[in-house]
Amino acid sequence: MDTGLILSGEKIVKSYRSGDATIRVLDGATITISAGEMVVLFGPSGSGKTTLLHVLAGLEQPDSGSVSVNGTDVYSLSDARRSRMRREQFGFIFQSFNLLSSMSALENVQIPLWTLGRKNARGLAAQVLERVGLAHRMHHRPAELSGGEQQRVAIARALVTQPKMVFADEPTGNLDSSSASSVMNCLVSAVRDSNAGCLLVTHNAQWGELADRVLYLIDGRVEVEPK
Amino acid sequence: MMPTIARLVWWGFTRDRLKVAFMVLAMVGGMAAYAMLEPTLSHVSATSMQMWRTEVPWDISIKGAGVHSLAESFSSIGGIIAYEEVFLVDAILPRGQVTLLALKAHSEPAAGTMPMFSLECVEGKGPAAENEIALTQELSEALGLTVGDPVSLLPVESPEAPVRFTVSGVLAAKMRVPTLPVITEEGASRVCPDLSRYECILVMLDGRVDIARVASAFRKLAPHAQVVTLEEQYRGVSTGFGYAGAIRSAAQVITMVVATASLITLFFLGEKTKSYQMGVLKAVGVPSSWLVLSSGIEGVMILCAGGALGWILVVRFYEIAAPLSLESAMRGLGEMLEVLLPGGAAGIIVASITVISRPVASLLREW
Repeated sequence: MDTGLILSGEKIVKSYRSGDATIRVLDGATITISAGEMVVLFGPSGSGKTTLLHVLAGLEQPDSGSVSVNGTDVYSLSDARRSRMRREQFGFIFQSFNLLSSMSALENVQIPLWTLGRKNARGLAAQVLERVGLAHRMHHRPAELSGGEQQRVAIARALVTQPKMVFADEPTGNLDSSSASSVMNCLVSAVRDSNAGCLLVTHNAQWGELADRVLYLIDGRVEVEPK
Repeated sequence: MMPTIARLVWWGFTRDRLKVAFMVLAMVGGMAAYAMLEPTLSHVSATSMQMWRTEVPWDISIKGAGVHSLAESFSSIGGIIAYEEVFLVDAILPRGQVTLLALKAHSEPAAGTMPMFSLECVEGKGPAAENEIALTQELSEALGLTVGDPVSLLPVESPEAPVRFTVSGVLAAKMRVPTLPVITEEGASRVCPDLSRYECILVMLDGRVDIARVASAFRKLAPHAQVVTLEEQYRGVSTGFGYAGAIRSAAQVITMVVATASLITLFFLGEKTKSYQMGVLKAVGVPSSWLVLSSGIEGVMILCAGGALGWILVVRFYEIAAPLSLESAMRGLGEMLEVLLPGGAAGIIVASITVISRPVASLLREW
């Protein structure tokens, strides 16, 4: 495992306004993820896991604190450069699979490659789909795939650009337990094969076994032990 | 880039077919409503103006030898929507002197205007031969004459030589305006051999122009002619035109605003429903500009499809519903498209930008 530091979030604070009240979702959260490391972040619903993932992934600016990738402060970059960094270095998997319904699995996986202007997008996408066990389903549309298969397509889409960091937000939240296990095994093995770092946020304690490190988001802070 | 945008456009079309269908329907409905309003309201407007012509169905008459040649100059005067070149000859009937009307020529009535002599035959037919005459209903009853009966007219200039006619029909005016017995030009020659002295042009104005100015222009063109204006009646016509025009403009503006607002609202709601997917696409690296462009293209294509379908349906409708003027409807369609296409497209681009420019995290929270 490569232990070089790739992603670091320091003392992240993020609040939301809800009516007249201000809710401090993140209250000095600090987290570091190394290349090739699989980190699972647990926390109950509404604890701010998704918000932390968004902040770390450059999707949502924190009120204070910093996020850096290999020493570069993510939020000091312009929107365009931050988008480019996300495009080139990050992969995303969401709870809702969100594949484009009019495109085949193969085309859905090619989307990030098209945005990067990569040549041989089709060949690369086919290879990744093969790795997640969907070689025989690559020409099917999302509606013709099961929930587990759709999420595996989403995993392939996240990994096809060979990102340095993968962010997975409750990737099994919409799946039954059998499909969920299959998808998680697929995700972990694909991430490890590509030597990417991975932050998986979930409230399902079962996935802790697959992680190199387990963290807990409690009262807006990242803890190594549950309360 | 373009293949990806084309795929995103296709995705936009196929993911929400109901939105596409409603947008096309809104476009078709807006165009059809507008295109039908134009000729219908024009017709109503012309009819309401005609209602004010209670004395005679024209606003200016120009009588005198050779006045028919003036018609060639009418285009330079402006404000004339219709005219008729007639001969008005006097003759004596057993009930007294009457004026007979013989139609020589008439203008093509402007779109939506009514022919001046909205006459209909309640019995028989209009005069076609030189010895035929169509009497007014009033005269027919007063003289006890009906279709096929002979009638002798005494020319005012030579009452000693009666001219015989046969009643070909009985006329009634649709708009309850006074009407005259009608004969053919050849028939009029039998009553008055030198017809040029009885030339007359009856002119109908559009309700907007100043009748005194038009009359003055006629007097300059034909200094020896007798120009008679019906100013009191024309004031009513102008008032009617003002009301009808205001109603027409208001209805057209309302139709345009409702159609454009419906299109933009439908599109905006459609865009809102795909906020989460937009967030995912942005997160996986699709640039916002591509998403805005693809949404814009999708919206404009829907507008064009709705526009084309609306055009075809409206034209087809007018082929069936012949009484309304297709030319006028086409003008309405053109006006509607001039507003709806750029207005709708601008609204669609703004709606797309409004949704897509939101931060990714905000879009992702829409799930």
